[in-house]
Amino acid sequence: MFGFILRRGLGAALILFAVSAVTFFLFFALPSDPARLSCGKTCTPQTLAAIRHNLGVDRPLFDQYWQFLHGIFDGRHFGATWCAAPCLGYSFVNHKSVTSTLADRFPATLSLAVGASVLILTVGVGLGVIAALRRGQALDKRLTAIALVGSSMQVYFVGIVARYLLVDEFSVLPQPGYSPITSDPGKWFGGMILPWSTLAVVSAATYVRFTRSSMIEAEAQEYVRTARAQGLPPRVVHLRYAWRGAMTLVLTQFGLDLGLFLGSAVITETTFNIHGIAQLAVSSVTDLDLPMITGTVLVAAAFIVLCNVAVDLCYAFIDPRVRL
Amino acid sequence: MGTAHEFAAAAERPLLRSLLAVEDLGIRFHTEGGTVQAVNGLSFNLRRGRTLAVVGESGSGKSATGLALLGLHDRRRTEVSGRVEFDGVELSGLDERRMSSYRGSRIAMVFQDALTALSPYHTVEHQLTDAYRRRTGVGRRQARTRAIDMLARVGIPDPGRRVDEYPHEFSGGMRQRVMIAMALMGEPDLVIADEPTTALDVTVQAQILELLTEIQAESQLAILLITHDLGVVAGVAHDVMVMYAGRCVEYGPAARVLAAPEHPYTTGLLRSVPTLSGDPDSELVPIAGSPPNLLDPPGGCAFHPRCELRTQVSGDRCTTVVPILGPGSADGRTRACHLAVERITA
Repeated sequence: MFGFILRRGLGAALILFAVSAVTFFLFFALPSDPARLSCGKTCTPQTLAAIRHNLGVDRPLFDQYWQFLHGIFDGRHFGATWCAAPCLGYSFVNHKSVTSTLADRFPATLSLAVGASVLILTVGVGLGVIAALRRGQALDKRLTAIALVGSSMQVYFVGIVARYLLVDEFSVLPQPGYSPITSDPGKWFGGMILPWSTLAVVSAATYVRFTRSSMIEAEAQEYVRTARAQGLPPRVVHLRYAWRGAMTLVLTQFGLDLGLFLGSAVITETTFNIHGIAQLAVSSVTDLDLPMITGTVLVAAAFIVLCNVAVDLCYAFIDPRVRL
Repeated sequence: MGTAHEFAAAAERPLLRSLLAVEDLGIRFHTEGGTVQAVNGLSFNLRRGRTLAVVGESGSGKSATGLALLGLHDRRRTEVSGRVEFDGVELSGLDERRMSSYRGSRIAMVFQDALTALSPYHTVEHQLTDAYRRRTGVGRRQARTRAIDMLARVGIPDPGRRVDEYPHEFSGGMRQRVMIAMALMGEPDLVIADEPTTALDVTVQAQILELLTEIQAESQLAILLITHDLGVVAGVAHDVMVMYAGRCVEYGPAARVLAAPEHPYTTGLLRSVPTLSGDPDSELVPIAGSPPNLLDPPGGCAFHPRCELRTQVSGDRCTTVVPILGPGSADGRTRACHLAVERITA
């Protein structure tokens, strides 16, 4: 266990280092000059040079990267402004520290991801198990058909239609959007209902189908037959024995999907007007806001790495044969 | 099937009543390729304290029989007919819930490969006690003590520690012992052991068989031993039933059947396995050909395409008439062959 955390921790650090280096150097190829952006309309060559020097962008590339890494662990100065550790840089477009902007935006994306995951797994796995146990019967056929329709839907379609009908037309749900859970939990929950449900409708379908097939596969395992041969009631055989085997497969799939969720968050956040990390990433690219881009990419990478460690821990918890 | 009834009646002649009486058992699988008659007109009896070995190649219907007795076959694809009477109660046709009350408590199963037959996700304690606790309502502590006792009884060293381990932490032989301990938890009257030693190496095989015999001597357990290995039969079984293509082709006391088989298939099986008592220089002869395709079984006697003695039967009876199970050379022996007993043993 200790060895596992140490190994995964080192691995994560290495991955994040690589990600930071790649984004840092890659985006330097962009035709963007932070000093020029921050200089304003009436910009003399003298002021430009002074700003360049202040920001450190006149130094060699590797030196700048070193400064960047230094800032993460120790903090650094941007001209007169002190950026405390972990300093991911300073946005010259918004005149704000990258770290504080990310800290503002991250909870919205996290709320979206965690809530939707819980809903998707509960609904998807639940219905999948039911479909598997009623295999070949009317209920199974209906669920499989609904799942097929659901999985061919898109967030920007279902979301907008649902928003129009449920919010604007019939006022069943409150306006979607993010407000901090700390200030008003009720408002936070209300604003998240529609985004979560939309993601669940679109993605749970995949999990219904996947859980169904995993469950059917697990039911055919010999150890499940042994459980029956012991005289265990069918409910226990299905939900304690077969389910355990099916879950290892579902969990593996979920681990792979986590990255995808974050990728599709751009569409979700735009559809529901949630100012999260994904929207920030898009606007930073449009604005050629290099420090912000590097920051969002790093945070997203860290999030995915962390989630995967968590999935591996769950995996070991479900299947004792997995050695950590 | 008049013959099946006659046979069942003949086998019931012994003074002790049978614990298990199977009459005219038929099993049909619905597969994508068509319907397979896996077992056809199978009848046998088993008394307490006795071991009946069911022998045959894969596809002979022996495992299907074992599963069908407890209703463990896939009910979606399988059709079971005939009667299965256990301790005076008709088991065939019971629903899953009522069948559950017999499973584990009165009839237990030991499966072939304990690595796949035990749950990889649960500790040995959980797997041994789960059904037992639900059935008896005893507390966790008491059930655990019983599980440890059972592990000790089947010869697992340090059972108090090993009860907390997972199946993959056991060796093959020890895992099979766990499987047997699991079967013994409910103090069953009958154990159906489906190839219990096939996945094990020879010395461990002997230990497991010895263990089964010991337990039988202690508790008057009836054992239905399903195996493809005639070598296993010799040491432990009282009676043997040889199956081919879903039918019983020879039945009788194990010692006699093994010493002087009265069906060409049994003869062939015996010639294909080495024995310790036999002449070490005698050649092992595999049975020519392969088991029949049950989707399209041969007409007449299912064994006729592989039978060496077929030419000795006049006419085309072997290819057109299914031989009925008739009396063999001695009381308690039956066989299904068109050829007279003397012509086979000679």
